[in-house]
Amino acid sequence: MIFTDGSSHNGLVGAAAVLFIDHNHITTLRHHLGKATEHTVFEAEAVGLLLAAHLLTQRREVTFAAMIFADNQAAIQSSSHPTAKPGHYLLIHFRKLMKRLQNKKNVDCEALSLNWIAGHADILGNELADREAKLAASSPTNATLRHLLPKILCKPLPESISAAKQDHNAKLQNRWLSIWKQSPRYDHMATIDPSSPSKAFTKLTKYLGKKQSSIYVQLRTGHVPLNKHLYRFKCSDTPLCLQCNDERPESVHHFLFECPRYDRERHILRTKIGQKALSLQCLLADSRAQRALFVYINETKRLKATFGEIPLPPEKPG
Amino acid sequence: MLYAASVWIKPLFSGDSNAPLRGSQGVTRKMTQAQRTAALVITGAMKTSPTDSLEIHANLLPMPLLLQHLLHNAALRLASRPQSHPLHAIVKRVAKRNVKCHKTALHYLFHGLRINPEKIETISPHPIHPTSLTLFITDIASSKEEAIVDFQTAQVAR
Repeated sequence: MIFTDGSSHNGLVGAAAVLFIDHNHITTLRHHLGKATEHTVFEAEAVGLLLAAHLLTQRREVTFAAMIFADNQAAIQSSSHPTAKPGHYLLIHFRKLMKRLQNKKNVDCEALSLNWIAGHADILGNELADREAKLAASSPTNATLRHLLPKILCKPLPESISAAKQDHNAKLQNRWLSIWKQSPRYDHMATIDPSSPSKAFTKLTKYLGKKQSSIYVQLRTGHVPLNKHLYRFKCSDTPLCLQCNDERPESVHHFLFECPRYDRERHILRTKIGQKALSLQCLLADSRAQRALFVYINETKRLKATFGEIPLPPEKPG
Repeated sequence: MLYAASVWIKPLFSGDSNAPLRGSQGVTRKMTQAQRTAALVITGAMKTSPTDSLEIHANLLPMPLLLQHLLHNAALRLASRPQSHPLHAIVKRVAKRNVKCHKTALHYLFHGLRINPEKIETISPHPIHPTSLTLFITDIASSKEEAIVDFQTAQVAR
C-alpha cells in the first residue's frame, strides 16, 4: 500500500509517497518541486504518483499486488487518460514507469490499482503522506537524495503553464487595484464597497433585472437623474432639490438620507433594516437591504420618470 | 475584436512596473472606447459615467490589462509547443536573442514579457496512443464515506 500526496505550503510546493507493507511503515520518498508561482498542486500530486511507481519498481518481491492511494481525484482521473494539458507529461511518465513495472515483474494490470482516498479523514497513511509532503515543500533540503529518485526528478522540473497563468492573473488584479486607487472615484467607491475590483457587485446583482441593477450602478457612481448631476450637464436649471425648501443640492446623499420630503418613506426603510440604513455601504452594497431600498425608491416616486415602477425582488433572493 | 491580438499588439507593460510601454497605446485607447460601450450596456449606467467605475461595476478587466493577459497566454502557448511543431525552432531562436531593428511580433512578445521557452514545460498534442492498454485499475468512490469504507475493506483483505 502506498499513500501519495502533493501540497503547497507557504508558497512552496512538495510531494511525498509513503510505503506501507502489512501495516508497517517501510520507506518514504519526498520531492521538493519549487515555488508555487512555477508549479501547481496538480503537478505535485502527479509527482507523488511518480514517486509511488518508483517505490514499487525498487521492491524485490517476486509477486505482489499494490494499491496506491491518492487524495486528488483530478490526478487519478487523468492518469488513465492523459491529454494535451499542462502537467500531464508527468502522468505520461508515471504510466511509463507502471508499464516497465508490469514487464519487469510480470504483474497483471489487475494487481495494480490506483484509488482515491478522502483527505483529512484521519487515515494514518494519508495523514502521514500529507505531513511528509508539507515537509518536502518547506525546504529543498528535506527532499530525498537525488540518486534515490526517478530519473526525471533529478533535474528541476520545467515551469508549469497553469502556475504561470495564475501568477500573472494575480499580478494583473494587483495592477488593476493600483490603477483604480489613483482614480478620483476611488475614495467614494471604497466607502461603498472596499473590496472592489472584485466580483462582489456581480454577485449582488446576479438575481436582479436590468432596471434594478441599473439603479444600483447609477446610485453608486452618482451619475443619476437627480438635479445635482443633471445641472452639471445643463439638463436641469438648478442643482438644488425642488422637493424641499432646504436649498440643498439634490445629490444621492440628499435623496437617500436628508430630504425632509421623504421622511415618511425613510422611516419605513429604517424600521426594515435598522440603524444600518444610515450608511451607504449597507444600502448600496448589502443584498439584505435590496428589497427595502427598492421599496423606498418606488415610494418616493422621484426616479419614476426615468425608470417607471421598479419590480421588487423576491423576499429572499436566490 | 481581439482576434489574433498577439500579432498586432505589442506588450503594454514590462515586468512589475505600471509605466506603460510605447507601441500600442493608441490602439488600446480605441479598444477602451469599444469596451466602454459594452460596459454601458451591461451596467445600464448613464452615458456620462466614468469608464473606470463602469469597468469596476461590470467586472471587466481594463483594456490594457486585458490585452496584456491575452499576450501572456499566447506567449505561453507558443513556448509550450513540442519539437515537432513548425513554430518550435523559430520561437526558440527568437527568444534566445533580441534584435535592435526589424523586430517581429515574436520578438516583442517574448522579450517584452520576459518569458524563456526553455524553462517552460512542453505539452504534447497526442500524449498516449489511442489504443494503449489499461495499465492499472483506477477507482474513485462516489463519496467520502464510501472511500473510507472501501479503504477499510482493502486493509482487512491484506
